[in-house]
Amino acid sequence: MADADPLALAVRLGLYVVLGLAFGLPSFTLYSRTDDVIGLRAVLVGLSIGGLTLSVLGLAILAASMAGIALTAVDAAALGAIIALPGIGAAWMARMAALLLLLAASAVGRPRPLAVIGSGMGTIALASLAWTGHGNISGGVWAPIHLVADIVHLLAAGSWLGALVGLCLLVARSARNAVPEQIARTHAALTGFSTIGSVVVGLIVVSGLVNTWTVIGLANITSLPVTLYGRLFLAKLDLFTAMLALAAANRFRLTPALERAVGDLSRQLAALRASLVVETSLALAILALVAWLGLLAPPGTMG
Amino acid sequence: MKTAASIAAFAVATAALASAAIAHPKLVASMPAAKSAVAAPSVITLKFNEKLMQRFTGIDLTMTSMPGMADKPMKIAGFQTMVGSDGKTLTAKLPKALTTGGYRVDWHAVAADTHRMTGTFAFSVR
Repeated sequence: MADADPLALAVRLGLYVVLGLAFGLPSFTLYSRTDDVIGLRAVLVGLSIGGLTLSVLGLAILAASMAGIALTAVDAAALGAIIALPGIGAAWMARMAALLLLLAASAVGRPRPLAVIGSGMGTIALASLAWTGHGNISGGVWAPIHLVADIVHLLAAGSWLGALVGLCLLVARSARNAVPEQIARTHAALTGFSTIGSVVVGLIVVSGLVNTWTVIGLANITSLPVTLYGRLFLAKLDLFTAMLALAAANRFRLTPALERAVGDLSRQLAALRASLVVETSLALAILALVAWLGLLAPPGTMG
Repeated sequence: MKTAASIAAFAVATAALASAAIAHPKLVASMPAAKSAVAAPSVITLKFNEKLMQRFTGIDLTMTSMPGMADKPMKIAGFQTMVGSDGKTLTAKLPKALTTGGYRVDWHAVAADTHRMTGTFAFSVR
């Protein structure tokens, strides 16, 4: 189990990114009031089709690993056995239903209802991931606490990812079309996210601590640097710290600079965009680590 | 100080609990027991620490040696395994009692954490 299957890792990463955006991007356009600027329709069609495909593939990979057979040997009966399970199976069904509804709603096309439906369906689809990986491995009194913490962690991380991509789109649009109204809206979205971003970071930290406690356990904290799981986990924390530093730079330096900017506006926007792109890349790297971690046995399960 | 100490004690206790709560299925006992010599069993029972998923849990039974014959492993088929009502006991009812020789059980088990675990043990029949 130490060697993670690259396909399983890719599918898990794909699901985190696609479902994170399916929730994060529509909700960002709602609270930043940019649902008329960011075209959601095509994006949500792509995300829902991607989410459906990856979910079917993910289920087949899980069935193959549970039955100890090759992916090509998985049959409908094995898939059916997992779908019939109360936790993970029900979560998978709910995710598929939410993504199908999202796909259908994308046909409606009007921005505001689509952003609302997208946020709702995205919440269900993203939260369902708590039942895969190590979200459901706690027993007894810890099970619901761990599950709730995992769902909060997923949704908060999804909001951050969605906001980063949304802000990237807005800044890119402002650079292309640097009229005062566009700049003002981008600035408003950036300022607006600094408040929501603080809440999001707080939720990520608190839910992350609960998860660390239940999955790794305090007794195993000191042994983290000696296991692969522990090293990946520590690398994840480093990347998270780097994201926080960039977010702080955006909030306290680049965003105020954009408001004051008179002459070198294009440079301000370029700096903001570079910072947002790096922050988004760090977020993707964290998700890759999370996808990998979910395939490894955490220290809390040893012995 | 006293508060801090009790918080720490609570933290350690709950962390230990949490660690105990999250576990892959492990074999805790079997009949016949590993490395034991028994008289002609017709049932093999494996006891695990976690509730098992019937569909993904089972055993392969191999006769590894018999008296007066060169060691040529022979797979024993024709039985089904069932998870008992407690969810943690796996029982294989064999078509007939095992004859004298050495046997190996290769088990695989999946519990709620969806990880496939495998293990093996041997016993002999007198």
